[in-house]
Amino acid sequence: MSDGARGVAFSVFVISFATLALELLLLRILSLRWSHHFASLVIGIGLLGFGASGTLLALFQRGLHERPRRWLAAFALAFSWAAALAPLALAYIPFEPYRLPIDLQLLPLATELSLAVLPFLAAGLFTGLALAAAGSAAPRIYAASLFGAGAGPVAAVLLLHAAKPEMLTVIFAFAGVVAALPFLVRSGAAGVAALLGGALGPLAAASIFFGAGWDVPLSEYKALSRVHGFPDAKTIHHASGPLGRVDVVQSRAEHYAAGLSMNYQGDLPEQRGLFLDGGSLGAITRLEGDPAELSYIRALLFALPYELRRGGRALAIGAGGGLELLIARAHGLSIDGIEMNPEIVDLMMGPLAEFSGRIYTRPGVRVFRTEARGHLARQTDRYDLIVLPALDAFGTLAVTGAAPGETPLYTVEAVGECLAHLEPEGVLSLGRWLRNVPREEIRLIATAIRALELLGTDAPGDHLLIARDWESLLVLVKRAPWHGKEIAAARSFLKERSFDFVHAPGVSSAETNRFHILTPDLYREATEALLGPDRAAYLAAYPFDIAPVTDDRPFFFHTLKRGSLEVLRERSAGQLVPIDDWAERLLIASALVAAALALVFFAGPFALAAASARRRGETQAWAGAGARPVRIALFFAALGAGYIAIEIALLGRFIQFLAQPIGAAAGVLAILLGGSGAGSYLAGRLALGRKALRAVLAGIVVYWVLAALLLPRILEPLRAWPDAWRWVAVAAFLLPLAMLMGCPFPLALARLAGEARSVVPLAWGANGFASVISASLAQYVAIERGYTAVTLAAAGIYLCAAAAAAGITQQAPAPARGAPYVGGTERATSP
Amino acid sequence: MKTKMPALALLFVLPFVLNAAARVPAGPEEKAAEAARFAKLRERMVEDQIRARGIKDEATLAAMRKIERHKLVPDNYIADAYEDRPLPIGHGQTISQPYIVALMTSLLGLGPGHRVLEVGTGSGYQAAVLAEIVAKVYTIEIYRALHERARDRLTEMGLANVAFRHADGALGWQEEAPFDAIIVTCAASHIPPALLKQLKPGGKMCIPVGPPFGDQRLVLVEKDADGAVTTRTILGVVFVALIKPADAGDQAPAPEEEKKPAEDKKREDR
Repeated sequence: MSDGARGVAFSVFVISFATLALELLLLRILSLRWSHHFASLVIGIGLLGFGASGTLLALFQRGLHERPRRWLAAFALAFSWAAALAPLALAYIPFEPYRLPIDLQLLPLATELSLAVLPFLAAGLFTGLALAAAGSAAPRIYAASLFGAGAGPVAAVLLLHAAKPEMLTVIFAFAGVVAALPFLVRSGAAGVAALLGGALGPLAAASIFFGAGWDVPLSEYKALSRVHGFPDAKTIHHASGPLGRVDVVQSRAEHYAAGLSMNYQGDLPEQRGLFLDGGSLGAITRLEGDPAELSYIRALLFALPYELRRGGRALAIGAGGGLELLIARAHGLSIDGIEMNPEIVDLMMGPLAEFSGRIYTRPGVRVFRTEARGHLARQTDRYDLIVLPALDAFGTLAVTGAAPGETPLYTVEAVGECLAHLEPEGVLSLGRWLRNVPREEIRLIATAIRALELLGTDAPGDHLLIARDWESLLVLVKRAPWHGKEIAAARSFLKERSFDFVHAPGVSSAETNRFHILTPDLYREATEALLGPDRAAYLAAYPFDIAPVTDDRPFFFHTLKRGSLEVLRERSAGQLVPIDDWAERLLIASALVAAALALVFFAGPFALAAASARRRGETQAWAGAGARPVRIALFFAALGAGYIAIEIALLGRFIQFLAQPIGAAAGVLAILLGGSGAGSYLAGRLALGRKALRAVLAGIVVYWVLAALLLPRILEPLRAWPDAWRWVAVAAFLLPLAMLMGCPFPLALARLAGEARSVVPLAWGANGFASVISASLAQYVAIERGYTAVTLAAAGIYLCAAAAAAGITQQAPAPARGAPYVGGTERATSP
Repeated sequence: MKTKMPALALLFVLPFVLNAAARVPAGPEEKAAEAARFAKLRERMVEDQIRARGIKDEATLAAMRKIERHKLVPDNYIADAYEDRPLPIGHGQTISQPYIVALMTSLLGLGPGHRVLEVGTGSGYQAAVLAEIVAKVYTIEIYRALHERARDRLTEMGLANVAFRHADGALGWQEEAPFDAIIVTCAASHIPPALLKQLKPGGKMCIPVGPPFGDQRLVLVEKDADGAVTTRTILGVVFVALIKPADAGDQAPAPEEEKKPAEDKKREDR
């Protein structure tokens, strides 16, 4: 590789590194400001900048290739500005997604989307031009891009432990200046001036963020914003990490007691509000003496399982502010708490230890800083009680839009795993909130029944005790059938506190729906239907998808099916259907917007320009004539779509397997993209023959189909392995596939080398647009049909790429030789 | 260049002139025309959005017909004041959809002698509607800006039987307890024990549960003569079916109420 190409490879690495890091950081900022749904939509559309860069490169190819190094420097510096501007715009332009049903806010939305496109457009222009001008060095340039893309998210996740996302966006924005260095370093004063000019963008962003205290203004509809409006409210602790921003707020008006009996006459103890990304996680309660002295916790519906298993050993999934630990200790149970968020653990064991009565470290309490499924898979302990509370605070789902995407805790397998860790008389306690139109809470009952059936239970109804009040549902699942004594104790507990039975062995309908009246009692009806012979018909007829979810499709909160929204509209008596109820449809909206923009900004301009070029007889300029450009576009589009579909399926599988949501995502991306980079590099070095492209594509399809069939079975027995060994297993599985996946793009470019300048923009644009469309569609397919379906779809897309590969080579390819990055008036060593 | 200066100056000044012109108070005729237009919109709101959905309680309908909702929404939403939807009022709060306000009002079975506590004054619209029906409304708001705005607007509207307090509503209004009815219009994870204590035996409490811009279910809390408490949850249109014409008959139209002078209001506004 020449010095010039080496410098470009370095710059491409830096830009890709910063771009992927920026994508993750923008997602973080928007998830904090609004919700994950809208964050994905905005960033998804922003990524279309990659596709649009292909169009621009094609339209201006002649000018760009006359001075490629100068333009590369310009694009790198533009990246600096755009990467600094986009986070500012996304953080401060007033736009309120929750008001969308009444106010479209088109101007701010369009401005946010346009500015979100810019950094990805600049990065796309830079990398696309670098590839187009690379000649025979293209595979190595592509490899550098993949290496950078793999390393960026890992760096961002690691740095999020130390700094806020807004700060990191500023740091990564300087990457453009670094990337421009190889092109400007020998340009004297003009080069220095250009570099300083590039640095001004991030510096300006830093000063604005600094002026605002490095804080993103949250939607006024987030719980934290509302609490901040209380007269005496103040944030007393604040921590930020890859799993989100944690705030602790002090206010006399802060009370949290979901599931509290209406018969409770006492006062509530002093509490501190606990918030994750601005959504409520409940409260931290002041504890000064014995937890048993906190009378209100014995008046909670969720205290029932502890009452039934007094003196035993419990496990609480989601230790959070310590409520479950308090209830357990108040009832004499020793308890293990699992808390995945290290920031919360640090707060509870540090600044809030005194206030919370050192509940995390009291005798009889152990707290593990880990993820629940992984923890259960690795240990053989048995418990008398396992508690999976509603991990979102009451009202969170409805009010803040914090509906999680993938929820591996509420699958049939997860419930089965919990049951397997119970003593023979042990109880699993599951909590959920009642919705305006019941959905997840009924799905939870269906999930418990299915898990019991898979354990070989003949009469699941004998193992279920379900109770509720006006806002909460409690599902108690016992490995053995419930005894009459236990039912009597539950009856006494519920009656004393005016809670209702929904279902329990020996409990008739006369004992249900007495204190909290529903007309009709949908929960009783649903439980009877799910336990009866007509379950399938009930599930099919229910207006929402309430069938149990599995690890293959772990989207517990996604319940829309055909006709669901119409039902919501009808039932809401003319009111608006809240945005959270249709947020999952945003994925389809995102794909449609991307497809429409692809037509407008990609297919249209290419078709028009190609037709014009043909009329002028310039067939070379637009990748030839006839159907070939279409085949080329389809081939590279299939590569982009297939790669992203595989990426999403892999992330779904391995996040569960590695049991570390953020770390696993970054790590898997790093292995996948890094491996692909290595594959790309080797493909260039080995100068593989003409048949290699189709062989590689066939290899990917075969490997991937086998993976679809075997991967879940292979992974299951390995889940109990220690962390390091599970990472080794992931790397061993992924690296061969990743290396194969890195080959087709550079191999195809090599076959088109004689016309790289015209083909690369076409390939780059098609690849970029298809990737964005595929990202939304693959997630939608995963939600609707599961990861296996995504896996098979990805294999199908690669099969299409193999079919399209046949028609993309010219009769007599003329491979490019000589020094890359040398334009008509420009020398490689002196831009 | 010189010739362009006046034109540029005019261009610069024009927006300010137009803005000032827009602020010139309308004449009496214009005011009357505007009032008539809003009255027509209110009438249509009552007929199309409320009566058509099954609410027949004449006292509620009369109050909804009378209260000028457009005076209680933020200025930029005045044109939408009588639309069939909630509107934002700041601080993450909304002025409820007219139908929900009517529903909650009729659900409480209020009469002219009743005293009602409202937790979450918000825009003041619900308090104003209640004030047309009952003897006295006590309303609490935790956000100072909302509290002051609602207090000023309702005073301007001449509603003297509303007392305002800027405080944490979960504690209720102990000095004026017990109440015949309570409306809790702000999100809460639980029904505050203090409010249950301050509800009279035989009284009702209404709590809308749901997102700010979405379908809300109403939870009706009823305290019987012995002090036992039950809830009744109304899901979407299922609730509409429960509001039978017979219910409306149970509630006689409210006679014209005796209003306290404005001075009383000031004294009670703590």
